[in-house]
Amino acid sequence: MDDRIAISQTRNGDQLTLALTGNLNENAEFPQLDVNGVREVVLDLSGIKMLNSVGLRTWLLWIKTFAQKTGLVFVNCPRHVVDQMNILDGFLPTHARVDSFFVPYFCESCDATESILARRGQDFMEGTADTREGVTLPDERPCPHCQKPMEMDVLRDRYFSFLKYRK
Amino acid sequence: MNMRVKLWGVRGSLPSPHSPEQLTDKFRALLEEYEHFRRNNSGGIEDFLKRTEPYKVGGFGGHTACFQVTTPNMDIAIDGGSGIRRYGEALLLGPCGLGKGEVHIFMTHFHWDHMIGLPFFVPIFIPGNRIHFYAVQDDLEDRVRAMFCKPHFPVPFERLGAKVIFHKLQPREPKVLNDLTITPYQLDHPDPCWGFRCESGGKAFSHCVDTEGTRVSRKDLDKDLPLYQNADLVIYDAQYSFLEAAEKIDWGHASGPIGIDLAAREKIKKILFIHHDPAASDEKIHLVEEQTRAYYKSCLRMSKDQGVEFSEFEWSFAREGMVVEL
Repeated sequence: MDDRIAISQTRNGDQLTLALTGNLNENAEFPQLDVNGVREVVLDLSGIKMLNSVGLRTWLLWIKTFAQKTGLVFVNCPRHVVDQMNILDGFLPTHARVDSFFVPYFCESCDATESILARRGQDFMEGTADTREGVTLPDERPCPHCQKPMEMDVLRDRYFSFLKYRK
Repeated sequence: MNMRVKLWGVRGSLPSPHSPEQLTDKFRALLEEYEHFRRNNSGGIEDFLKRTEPYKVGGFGGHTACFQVTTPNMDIAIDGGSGIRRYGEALLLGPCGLGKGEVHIFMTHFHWDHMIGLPFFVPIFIPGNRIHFYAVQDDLEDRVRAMFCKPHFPVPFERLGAKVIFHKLQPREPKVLNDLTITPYQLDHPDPCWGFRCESGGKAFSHCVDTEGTRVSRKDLDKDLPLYQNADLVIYDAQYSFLEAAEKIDWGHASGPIGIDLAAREKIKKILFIHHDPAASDEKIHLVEEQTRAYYKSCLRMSKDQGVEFSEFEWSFAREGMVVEL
């Protein structure tokens, strides 16, 4: 099966949505993007299964070709993408906004895992020069399988650190 | 012991000693930590040093590339950066000090930081010694001669005491020296640069510096893939942080995460990162190492989440003087 990244583009007025699916690795090839007349590019990353450093390097160079010409919005970011936002400087450009990302929960009673989609304005808000970042997601929530409490499966300080104000 | 690798120089581009101010700052920070340690522990100085991260005490080292590979019946050096001066001093304790030494130096390429120590390699001045240089590049002899040339250096090549012999290596063809086999493979660097896979007693050490790691997939590496496969130890280029390396296209240097992915895929047992940026403080190098650690952990977690195999392996950012036995 071909696992290379596939990108579908949807234009809606002055917003261009790119949905990425597959593996962000050495086989990744990105299209040259014409962002003339585009107010913001929305990157839907929910379909990224695996990624590695070479794919990330290609990604950084690609993003750079249009990042300064338009707004950038990241949505539906899975855990491994959030990890890279926190680890690799530059993965999330300074002016980019994250509108939604997944937060893993784990149930010790039945070993179930759930990824909850956190939404900007509802579950979190990034920090600004004047206000600190905030996350309102609870540490525990009922397990949909056994109804016992399942716990947030990340360290808050680390996982949400990309929400801090970036100059 | 089948093979022993000693790192005489791990800095990239330019020898980078600590300045007196940097040493004073380091000393002050250590004393403050020691005061705190003594208030909470009964141990003394040795105990404190054992518990303190090594980079905080001695840093990562300032000498440029030189590596010693020793087997039961052979000893070679890779590159002649400023680290080779101390390698030469160590050799003086043996036959080289008596003018009866035979030295083998393999050159990856001829950038300054890999050559700059040669005029200070004392065995080359002692009559009776035989110094062998090896490289894939055709201009090996010209480049070495140029290091001993007025007005850059007072002793001309013709007046060196030792007999100097040059050997041309063929790309990807093994060179056998006693119980050590050395095979050159091409790296990704602006000027041609060759890594070496050294094999002896069933163990393999691969020297993979300088490289930008632009060819990473098995298809792209093609004939140079064996340099990495199943090596017991790899020394790899991590001059920059991930973002720095991504932005410095064609500068010829890589970053930790590139080496981590290569090691995971090619079943490398241990990987050491070197060629630390001369502009980077010990603290900055440590930060880049921590970035690489976070990346390594994220790979482990992602592989587990996706049900993909990821074999754990040893790795670290290397310090000058480090010795690895295979």
